[in-house]
Amino acid sequence: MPAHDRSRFLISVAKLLGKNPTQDHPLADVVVCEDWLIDEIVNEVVPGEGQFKLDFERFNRLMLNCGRRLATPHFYNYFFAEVGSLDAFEHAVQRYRVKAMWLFGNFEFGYRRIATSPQAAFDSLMHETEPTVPDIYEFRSNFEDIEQIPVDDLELLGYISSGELKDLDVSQAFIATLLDNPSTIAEIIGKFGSQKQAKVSEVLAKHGIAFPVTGAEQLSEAALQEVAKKIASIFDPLKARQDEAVATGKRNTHRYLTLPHLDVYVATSMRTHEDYLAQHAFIRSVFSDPNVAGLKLRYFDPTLSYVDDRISKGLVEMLMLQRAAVTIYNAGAEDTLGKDSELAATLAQGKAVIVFVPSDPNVITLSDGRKVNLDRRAEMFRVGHPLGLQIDVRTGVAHGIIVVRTAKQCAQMLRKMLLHELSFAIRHEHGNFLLEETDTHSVLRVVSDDPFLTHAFWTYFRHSAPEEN
Amino acid sequence: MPLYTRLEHDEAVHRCAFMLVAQGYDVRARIDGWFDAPDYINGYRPDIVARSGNHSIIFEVKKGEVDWPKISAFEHYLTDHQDFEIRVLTPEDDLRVVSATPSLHASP
Repeated sequence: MPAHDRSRFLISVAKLLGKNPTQDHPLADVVVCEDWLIDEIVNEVVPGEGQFKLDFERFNRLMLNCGRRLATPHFYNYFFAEVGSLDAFEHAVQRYRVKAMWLFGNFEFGYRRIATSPQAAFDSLMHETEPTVPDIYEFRSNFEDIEQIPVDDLELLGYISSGELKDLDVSQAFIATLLDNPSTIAEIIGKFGSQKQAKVSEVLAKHGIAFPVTGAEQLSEAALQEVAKKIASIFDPLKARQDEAVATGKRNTHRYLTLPHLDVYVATSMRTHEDYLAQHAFIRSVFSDPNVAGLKLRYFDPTLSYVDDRISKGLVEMLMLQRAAVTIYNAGAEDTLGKDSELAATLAQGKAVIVFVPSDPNVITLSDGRKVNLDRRAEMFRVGHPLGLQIDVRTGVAHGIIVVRTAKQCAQMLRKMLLHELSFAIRHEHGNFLLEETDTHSVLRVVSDDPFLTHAFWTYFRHSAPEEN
Repeated sequence: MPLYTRLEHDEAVHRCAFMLVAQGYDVRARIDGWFDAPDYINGYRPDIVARSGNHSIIFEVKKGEVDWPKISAFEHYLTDHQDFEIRVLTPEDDLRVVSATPSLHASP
């Protein structure tokens, strides 16, 4: 048997078992038999140049002598029955390793669960990794439950934007009180205090209405009536639109709460009018894209939902997050506690996150003048963000995020995620095996080489204190 | 279900608070960024508390039946606090009249 073929085979077996092969003795960490016996088995599997014979019996002898449990026939048949060459064996091992990383983030535990489970459990595990037909989505009715809100009115539902409207209303109340007491304007202004007057002046200035920062000299009854008229001309139409948007947003919240299915949660933060426009355009682009339009996905768009108070809104959003299979995180130019928490909570539930960082324009100037390079921001999410990997709190498997740069790419990856069509490569870097999604080069699972870290991690992850007497 | 929306309620609170300031009360109101908020009373925060001397008036702008436990809690508080009174309004009331009505207990 050529030494090169033997080495290739042993390296692949070591990888199958989750061990880092060493040059002198690739299986040194795992072999429990004497060397001559493992040589004998290997010689049977790779008897000569271009020859390869790994039947079920030899496979299990190999596993036994490497200290592993016996594999089931269905496991062997699924991965190795068709293997007739060393190339095919390497390919099969790689296929197994991708599944073990995807499902368990661990090769040894992965072998135990995948290779030794009864048929039904094995089939269920493999089903999670195999492409599925889109019928379960396509046979649904169209998703038309949610009422749209005019895009220019979306921001009236936001707590920050509606806060500006509230300030305008408070200013209106301030002026109305002065007008109710026209003979004592100066006295009442004094009672209101300089801080409130300055604030009214600031609020009104944003809408192009002049009001003195201090003093009451310019505030005749006629001047105040003019100010009140101007406020009403701005506030009343905005208020009417807000009332309508709020009513629609509340109805939508009730619909979201009672949807039988929820596939996608769209996480974002919106502060400015432009944020709302961009978010609306992004959501429309993603869900009307031919990659996903036919799947009739049910998605939660927080911009179309309204709840009066922040606590209820938070509870609604957490329920939506918990129900959805995938979160799309519209990263924007800045991190915020709200959407970052949603990203982390999704990963901690063992579910997928697709992070969208716009590619055009690739530099954004924030309101405080800072410039944010979105190419760098995307790269930071892909390789360096501290939230980029989170463990599933139920299983301990570390989950990563998929980073996309366009709405089209987001739709493509969303489809692949839901239909289990993602493709992967495994690479080794800085003492870790990384399961990398091949379209976006995003790392979705990791396995550490470090036996000490691995042992401590799984010991304490699964540890529970002894019950008290 | 509430009879009045949050927005209708808030507008009434804004208007009433300024009315009370104009009438010379020391006002605390639930208007973020504009007034200090009133303290909790029996677990609930009133919309407005207007104080004049040693006398305080709790103003609660009613949204609907949903406010009953809150108003009941304030009424209960009054039994032990003779220096407080309560006025329950609705957004439809003429706030100038309601807030300006002299207190049964004291005048501002």
